[in-house]
Amino acid sequence: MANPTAPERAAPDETVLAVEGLKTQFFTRDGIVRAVDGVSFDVKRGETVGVVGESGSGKSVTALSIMRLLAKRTGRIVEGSIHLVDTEITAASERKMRDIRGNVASMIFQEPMTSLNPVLKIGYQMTETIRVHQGLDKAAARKRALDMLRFVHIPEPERRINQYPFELSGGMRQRVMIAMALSCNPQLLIADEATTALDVTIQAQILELIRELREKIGMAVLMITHDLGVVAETCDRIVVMYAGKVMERGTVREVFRNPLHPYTKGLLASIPRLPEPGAAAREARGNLTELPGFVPSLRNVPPGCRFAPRCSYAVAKCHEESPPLMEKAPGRLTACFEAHRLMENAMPETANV
Amino acid sequence: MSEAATLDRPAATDAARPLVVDNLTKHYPIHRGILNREVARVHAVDGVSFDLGAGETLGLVGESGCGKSTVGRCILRLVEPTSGTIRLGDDDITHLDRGAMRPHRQDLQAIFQDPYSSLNQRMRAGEIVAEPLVNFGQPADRAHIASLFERVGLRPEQMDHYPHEFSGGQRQRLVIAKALALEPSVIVCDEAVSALDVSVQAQVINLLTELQRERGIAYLFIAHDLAVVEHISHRIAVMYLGQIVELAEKRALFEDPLHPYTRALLNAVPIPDPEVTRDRTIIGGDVPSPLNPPKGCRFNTRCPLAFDRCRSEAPAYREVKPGHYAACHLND
Repeated sequence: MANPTAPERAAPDETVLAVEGLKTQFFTRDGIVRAVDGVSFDVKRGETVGVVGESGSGKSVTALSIMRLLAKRTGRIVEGSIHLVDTEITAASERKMRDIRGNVASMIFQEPMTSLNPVLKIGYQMTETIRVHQGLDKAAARKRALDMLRFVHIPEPERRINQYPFELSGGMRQRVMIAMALSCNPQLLIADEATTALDVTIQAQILELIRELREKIGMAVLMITHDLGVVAETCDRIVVMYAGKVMERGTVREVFRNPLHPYTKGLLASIPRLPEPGAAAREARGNLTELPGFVPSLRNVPPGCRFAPRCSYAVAKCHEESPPLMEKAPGRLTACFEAHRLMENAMPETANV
Repeated sequence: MSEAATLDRPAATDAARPLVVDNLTKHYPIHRGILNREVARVHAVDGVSFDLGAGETLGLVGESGCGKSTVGRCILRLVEPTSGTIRLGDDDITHLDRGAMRPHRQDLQAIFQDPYSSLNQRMRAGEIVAEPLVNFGQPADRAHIASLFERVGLRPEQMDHYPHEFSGGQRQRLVIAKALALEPSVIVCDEAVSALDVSVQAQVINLLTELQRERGIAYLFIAHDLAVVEHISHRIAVMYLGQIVELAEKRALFEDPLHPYTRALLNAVPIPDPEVTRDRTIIGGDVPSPLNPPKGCRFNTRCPLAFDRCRSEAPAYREVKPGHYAACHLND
């Protein structure tokens, strides 16, 4: 993959990432934490897939599993497969993984400052990666780094390349991280809460850049986020996670229009929304729809559906048996026994407690 | 809250306005060298004025570094203002020392972002809520504390639990119970729901709204999340680089923003609806350093509509329409 302009890429529509029945657990002194418990989804070339969930949903652990960056002592993939382009990640050697990280899949994190070495210049950090992965000489690597900085719209790249991370603003740092992540032409970019720490105007700039990556170079992107607004604006498909399991999957458009899982429905109803631009703002506000209760602990997972204790649709079966992910319509999957009630749209709203 | 704010009104003893902030300024000097000379000033807050009516929520929004939290901290007297006045009820509290401030603390409470660090880990939840009452010599019997617990949606038996036994949302409820105990007229909420999960955030927002309706508490609601602020506020003030650039009734602000920065901010918020297609004018650049705010209008370096005058002359912050304040030359 030495030539940035003509990489050997997956053909359009080809699956870049396929995660199947993934189970990742942490073995702690206080017991086993089932952080990811049978998660399946895929990402195709040129597609942006959003993995949404609250804290403890397992979304970040899923991303770390894909990159095999779990804490060595405690974290382990115990079941399932992760197929990335032509490699089975769960069986790959550490040496193979080093080759894959950056070259096949790259990851960017929430706080760019913790991912950058504060005492090394941007240029050094960028060219190091490029030289290690692509075997370019110093001059060629520098040229490549400058190209990448230009690609992510960093003004005056010749000046920026000689600066230290602290001299850059948060938004600039995240652009540098994206430039570094893309410098070896990966086929998959994983963005884990990549815009969460940024101000809204800067977030808008970075989201625009991520959209551009898809359009210009057909990048497959996996967006890990808690922000449904970010998903609505950037993603094609969505994977909704709760307490280590996938609750629902589908195209963003369909899932937002007609969620087939009570959790998704509750989540969409509970977020405050700005009035549409230009439309008349609502004068008096009623209460927001609440999801009662809170996210369960992953140490003592009760039998049955993990959302059942908070769910207003739950029936006796939900507390006894864990619902599998079922396909209700082409591409529309939900892990809910009572999904038909949501499809018919005949039942009352989620409880407003 | 339909009464328009008149910010240039003489200092009034107006019980309906529990909080009046006038021309509040906070500069942090930077000292260098052996003579420890002041070499620069961080203009954290620069001439901020607003007031807060009883039972009203004023949202204070802006990006990181705009000074919104410093405003809150000045009002709470955690930070000494450089100049300006802060009136709580009938009293000027701007420069009160710790002791003199004490009686006013009953009237002015705070809720911060991280409930875990606001709670003493070694005290039981019931003691935490009772503490302010005990400090001010008010009755703090168990039945009274239990009623406060119930009011914020906690179970009375949880009074014997320690903070670590509560979930994030419950901890914030505990902080709210503690803030309520002294029946304050003003609560400063600084990113009070920002750390909570979406599904729990709604519970806390609803609780704050209900308590306000019941008890007529005024909130200064400082947050970066515009959708949350829009939901909870009656009026909203938008800050940029230490100054309020626009302040209006919520409805007026969203329907007819009079400052380009407000417009940019509204455009930048991701909308959780894939069907909405909208104006994607994204402003470039970063917030300049408050050490060296730009000359003229502080937004001119990023403003898509800036012209010569904006770069030389700072626009006056004035009432453009009744109750709708903005600082932009385009409104002249």
